Amino acid sequence: MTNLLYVFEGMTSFPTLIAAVVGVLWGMCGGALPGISTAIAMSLVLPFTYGMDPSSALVLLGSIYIGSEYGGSIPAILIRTPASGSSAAAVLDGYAMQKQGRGGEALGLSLVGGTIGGLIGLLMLTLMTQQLSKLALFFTPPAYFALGVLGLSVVAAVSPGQIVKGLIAAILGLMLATVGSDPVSGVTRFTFGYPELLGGIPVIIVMMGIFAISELLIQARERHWPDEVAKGKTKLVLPSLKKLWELRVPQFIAVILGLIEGLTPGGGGSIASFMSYNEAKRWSKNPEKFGKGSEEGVIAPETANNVVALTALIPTLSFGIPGTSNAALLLAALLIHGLHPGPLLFSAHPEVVYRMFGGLFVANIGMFVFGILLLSPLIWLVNRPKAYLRAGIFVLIFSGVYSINLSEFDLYMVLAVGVLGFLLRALSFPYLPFILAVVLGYMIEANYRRSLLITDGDHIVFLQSPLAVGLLSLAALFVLAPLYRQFRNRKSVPSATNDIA
Amino acid sequence: MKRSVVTGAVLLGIAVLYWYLADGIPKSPMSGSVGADGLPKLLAICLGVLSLILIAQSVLSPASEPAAAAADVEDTGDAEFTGEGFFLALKMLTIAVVYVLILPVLGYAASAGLLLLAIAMFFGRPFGFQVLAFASVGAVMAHLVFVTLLGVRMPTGFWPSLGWF
Repeated sequence: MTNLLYVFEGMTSFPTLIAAVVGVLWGMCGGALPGISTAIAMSLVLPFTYGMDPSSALVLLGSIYIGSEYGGSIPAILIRTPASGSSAAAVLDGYAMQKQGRGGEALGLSLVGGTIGGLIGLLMLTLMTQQLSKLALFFTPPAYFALGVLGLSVVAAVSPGQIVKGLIAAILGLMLATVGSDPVSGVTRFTFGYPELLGGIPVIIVMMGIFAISELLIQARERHWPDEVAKGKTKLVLPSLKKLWELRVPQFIAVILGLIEGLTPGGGGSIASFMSYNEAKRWSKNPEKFGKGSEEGVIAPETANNVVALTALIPTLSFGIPGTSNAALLLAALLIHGLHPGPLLFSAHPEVVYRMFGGLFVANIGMFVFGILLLSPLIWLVNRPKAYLRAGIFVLIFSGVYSINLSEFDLYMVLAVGVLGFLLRALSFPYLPFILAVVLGYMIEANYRRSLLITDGDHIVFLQSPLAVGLLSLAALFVLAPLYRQFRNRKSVPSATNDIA
Repeated sequence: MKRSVVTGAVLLGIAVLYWYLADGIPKSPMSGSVGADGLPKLLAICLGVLSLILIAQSVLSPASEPAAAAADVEDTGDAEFTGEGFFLALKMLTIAVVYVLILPVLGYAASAGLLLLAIAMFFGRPFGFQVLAFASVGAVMAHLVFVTLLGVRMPTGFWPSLGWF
């Protein structure tokens, strides 16, 4: 009952309402601007969350995530330019509908499908995470260590075909996490005499460097953009209830696949939307229409996107496993406010979690309302010169970072992390393992060493806790399953080659 | 192959340097059995081993590298980088570093204006009234949002010493 009250507070209190509205608006704008991913839109506002209460900060970031999923569909449908991987599937039939003069219908399907997907995803998030709070009492330092290892074990899943590079990226992230005071003795490590490094490299600096600065450095080579322009006259056409009922099968498929992908480490909106598209085509009565302007081909990926945006928070909040970059940013926001993921979060700070759920409900409704009202300004944004956009982002990054500690040192740090992120991406290293390691590094080391203090250095402590054993076993499974899959694929490739020969 | 071998060699160098620095971490009786240098040394060893594996993979299977690189590109979502890409990124980084250097001297608004101008021109906007107007309006907007509205004490530069502000 108390939790319901918190949800109601989240839906009605002024700070969370403002956070939800601003977040959805910023997310829609960020999504509509080609080249700005959801992660960049989220990382740019991270510095502003410092002064906010944790619920509002999480609602702000979650709402950006929700809003950008619809915003990203606008350039995808109108000018065949997906702003992110998760809106790429909408190009296939959305752009075909636009060419037939049905762009408004495609945007309407995207908006309604996204809203339905978001609300169902939120319901799943609320129902599934509530059960996990019962585990909170069993969490001791060994279990927390195991929880951190479980989070890090996703490295193998998010580095398909390049596990060595994924592991290297994770180790570099852990190395970065060791900068500053030792979590047990307080001895300083790798600070090189700079007092600014005593508290370590702030997660917020890492996030802005990795997502925003590295992205701008990557985009430095794209100096000449195609000048395709979206028509400002497109009018949104919402689907009727009868039409929605006719499209129930692709929506159902999208909800199921969105839930599975949201819960799966390394899943995410891109995979869910393409899988939903494929399955919707397979189960469709008119598969021949796919790719030629099929309504099912638009609503399936767009529903799946928004289901994932919410269900990806289930492993993030419950176990500290951010399967996607966007979820990692939400995890960073938790840490910035001194909150640690895990079942204890639900019992120690239920007000934060349930107010967030309330705020995210408002965000979903807000997305629907603003999606109807603001289509023309969003189309105007899609057509802005990219040069001005990127220049503005640079000023926003530097201003935001400086405002945290009023320190020029932070500006150098964000540039250094940005260069590291750029090098990782330019040399084809997956960067999600790096972020995971930075976020989870302190938690793993601190709890590992605290656990050993209990038994005076004896590792048996990790086998004495059934919860720790369970989590470590799950972590081993997460690492070994992709390795086995990779091994099996490699074996099948030569045999297939032999067959052809 | 060359790029992976060089990357592996650089990472190996980082591993050695990191070990050396970890070895210099002071000992404390409060550090417990693992010590403050325990995890860093373990990480240095792991990085060293993985760097050698990366080099060995590149040397032993050079033929598979283009396919692997193509797979990598697909996974990270970034098209393969050429020398020109690195050079352009370095140019943009230089603009950013210059901004940080001039910030305490010229103050927030002037530096922000110059940054807007430089980045817009970097991305191909020709120098002229439009880009100058963009930089000026952008700088004023940034000042209004961060200094006036949010109350952030941004660097003022040398202007106050002239008695202008």
